[in-house]
Amino acid sequence: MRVLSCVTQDHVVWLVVLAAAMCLAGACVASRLFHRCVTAPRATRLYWCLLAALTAGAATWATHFVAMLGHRANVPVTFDGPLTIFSALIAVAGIGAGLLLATSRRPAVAVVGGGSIIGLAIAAMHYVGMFAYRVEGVVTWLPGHVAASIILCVALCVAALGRLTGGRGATRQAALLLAAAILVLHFTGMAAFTVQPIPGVSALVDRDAFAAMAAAIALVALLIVGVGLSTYVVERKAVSHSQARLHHIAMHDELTAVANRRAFTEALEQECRRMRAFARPFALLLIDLDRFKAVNDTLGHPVGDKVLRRVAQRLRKAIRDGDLIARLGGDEFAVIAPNVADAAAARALADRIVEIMARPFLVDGHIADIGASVGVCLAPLHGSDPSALVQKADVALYTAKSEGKGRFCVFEPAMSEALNRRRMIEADLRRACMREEFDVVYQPITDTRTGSVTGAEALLRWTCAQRGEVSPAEFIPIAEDLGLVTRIGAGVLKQACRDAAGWPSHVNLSVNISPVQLFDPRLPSLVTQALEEAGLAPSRLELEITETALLEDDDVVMATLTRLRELGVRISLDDFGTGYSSLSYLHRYPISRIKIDRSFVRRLPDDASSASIVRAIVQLGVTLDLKITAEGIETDEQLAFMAGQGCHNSQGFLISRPVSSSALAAMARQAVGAAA
Amino acid sequence: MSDHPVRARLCRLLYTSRMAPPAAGAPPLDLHALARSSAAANSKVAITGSLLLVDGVFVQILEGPVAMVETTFERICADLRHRDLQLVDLVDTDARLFGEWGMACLDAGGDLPQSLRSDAQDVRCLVGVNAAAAVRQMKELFAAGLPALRQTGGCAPAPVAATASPA
Repeated sequence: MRVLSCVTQDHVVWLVVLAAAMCLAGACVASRLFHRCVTAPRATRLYWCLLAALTAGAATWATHFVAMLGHRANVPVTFDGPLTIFSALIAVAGIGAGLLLATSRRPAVAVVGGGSIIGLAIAAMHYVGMFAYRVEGVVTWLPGHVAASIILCVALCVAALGRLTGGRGATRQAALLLAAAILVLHFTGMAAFTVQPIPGVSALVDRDAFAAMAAAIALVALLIVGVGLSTYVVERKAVSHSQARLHHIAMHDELTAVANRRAFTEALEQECRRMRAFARPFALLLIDLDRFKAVNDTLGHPVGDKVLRRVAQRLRKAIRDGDLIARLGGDEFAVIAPNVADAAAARALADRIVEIMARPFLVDGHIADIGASVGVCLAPLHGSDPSALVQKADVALYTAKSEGKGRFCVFEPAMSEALNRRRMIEADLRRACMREEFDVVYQPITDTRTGSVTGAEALLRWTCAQRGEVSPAEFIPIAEDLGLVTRIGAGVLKQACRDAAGWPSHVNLSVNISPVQLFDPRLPSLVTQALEEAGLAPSRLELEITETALLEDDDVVMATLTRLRELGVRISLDDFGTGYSSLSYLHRYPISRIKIDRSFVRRLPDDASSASIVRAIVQLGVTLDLKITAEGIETDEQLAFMAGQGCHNSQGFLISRPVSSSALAAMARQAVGAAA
Repeated sequence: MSDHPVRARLCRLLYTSRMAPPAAGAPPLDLHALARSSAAANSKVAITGSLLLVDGVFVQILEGPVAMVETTFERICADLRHRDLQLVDLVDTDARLFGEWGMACLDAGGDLPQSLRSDAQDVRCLVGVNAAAAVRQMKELFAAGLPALRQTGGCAPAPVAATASPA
């Protein structure tokens, strides 16, 4: 009661309000700084404590003096300068000590010990300040109020520290408690203080000097609080800036500055959640650069890195606003495109990406000709959780790659089936390689004029235990991708040579050699070994190669072919007429035979243009002294036409389907017998 | 550019492209506005050359220091208003062929004299066959047609870049 009447009657109200406001502002800053003290790392903790103590001490001091300014003393007032400054030091030192204790690991010591010391420091400041307040009158103190003020102040400070060690947002409550501690102490303490004027002494002596002094002190204190506040804010800004930077580093690809795999995963999860919550469809595009490895290998990694940066920049141009680009690693990128409702919009986006990546990249004077394959899937049409979507986009990407790269594919369920079949074939094929499940059959080749068997082309057959016979057209490309072709090819060559060694000696053997084998410099030694093991004369072996192997104009190929020719093995050019059919190959490489592709033979003899092409090829053979074989002879007319043109040899279903080695040997002997 | 330009390696690049069909409602492409803005950009980076629009196909030659040609060409490659963009030729060179013109441009679909128009079509045909010959033909076309261009609305910006360039 007395406290209230003290505040209302003995004080100028607006100065009390000002004191309270300053106290509250100071307490807010101080409590944030207190919080910083308890959470700061050990290295900077002492400095935070110092700053917090200065700020809180100054706030207490200022509150005290502004409130004293508002105190209606009806007696002359002066005050003791040194003691006043000493009171401020008490506040700062005491609060500092309390804060240091508050950083203790033991919560009881931290809160109760630290809070008590801070409360006592505030009380000490006030009462020392009151001693410095010299009045010309009879002063009496009410011990009960003094005791109450100290106890309340300590209790409120303990509570404030208790809040600080609590969860987030507690600093505001702590600030209120701290302000309450200071104000309650001050005004309860003032209620304990009464002064009776000594009669005959003038009341208003030095009043102005006191006011000026108090105002100056309050101002200094405010400045200190301001410095504390700005230090805190500046530090917070710096911290949040460096946190933002760290976050950026953690979520972005260092090289290209687009999102990294982690950010992609998070974004995809978020997009899936949004899709479920708001029925918001989106598209996922997985992008794989074509031929990028070649850039790294031939132009070096620095150039490769520059290309990747340009790729990211071009992607930014190709996407729509709001789409997310991520680099998943290496030459893999992804785009998440929100609000893509139909395949048409996704196609348009994928098309832009394929188009913009197909353009050349000029880096440091080099031309990097890459390109991109894109797999697209749509959510929720193709899936609604991240892993299913990634898997389906991956299937679509794989399909785009296997269909020739530089294109995009939108996921279709059939693609999964095709991919599954391929995966199973891959596994079976590996197994087949170990168990040598391959068979070689032979398609007879005859002399077109006489019809006698002069040779046979070895053909690979694979009868898979699970799926029966698999077409070479299906499994050979897979074997090429798996790097099994060399091994399978070597097996076929050895088997065929062994088989041919048992045939009549006028029957020659043709074996297909894939481009992969041809690029392998070990091919001549493999051929030598196969011939020697089987005891087959090199002159009876002919190796069939395709134009694609010659396109590269590779020195290795040239050396290999020359070496084979030196061994006495002949080389023939298969599928002639379908590729580039550059005549320079025939001139440059040691080729002794060309085989006219079945696609021309099939349209004979009615199709005039096929007929003239065949005629031209035969003529070419005559001119360049090359043997000519016609493949795919199926009718008597075709055979007659080829015979009429002077084509040396023929093969096809009309003559015979592929047969086993022993059947071929029998056919050859029969023919010889018939002729004899 | 610095006051004492070092003699940077020069190169000449020839590419062709088509205009992407303008988006629905968008105004048709203004070739001359495009050429003016690109000429302004090019003059800052010492790129000279020529731009020809014939039968819906752009044929452009860029020449200048390698790094700047690369930067300019990358900007073009990243621009989806081009379609079917083909890099036809990239060669090192000792001297600029189009040094005096900045970036000259010619729309062979405009009101051109018949001779110029057929020369422009020749350029287009040559591009697919012999890049070096196409470049020469382009140079002749612009040399012969320059006075006519000024009258018929073709644009030939002031030769800012050429004088400042290291060529």
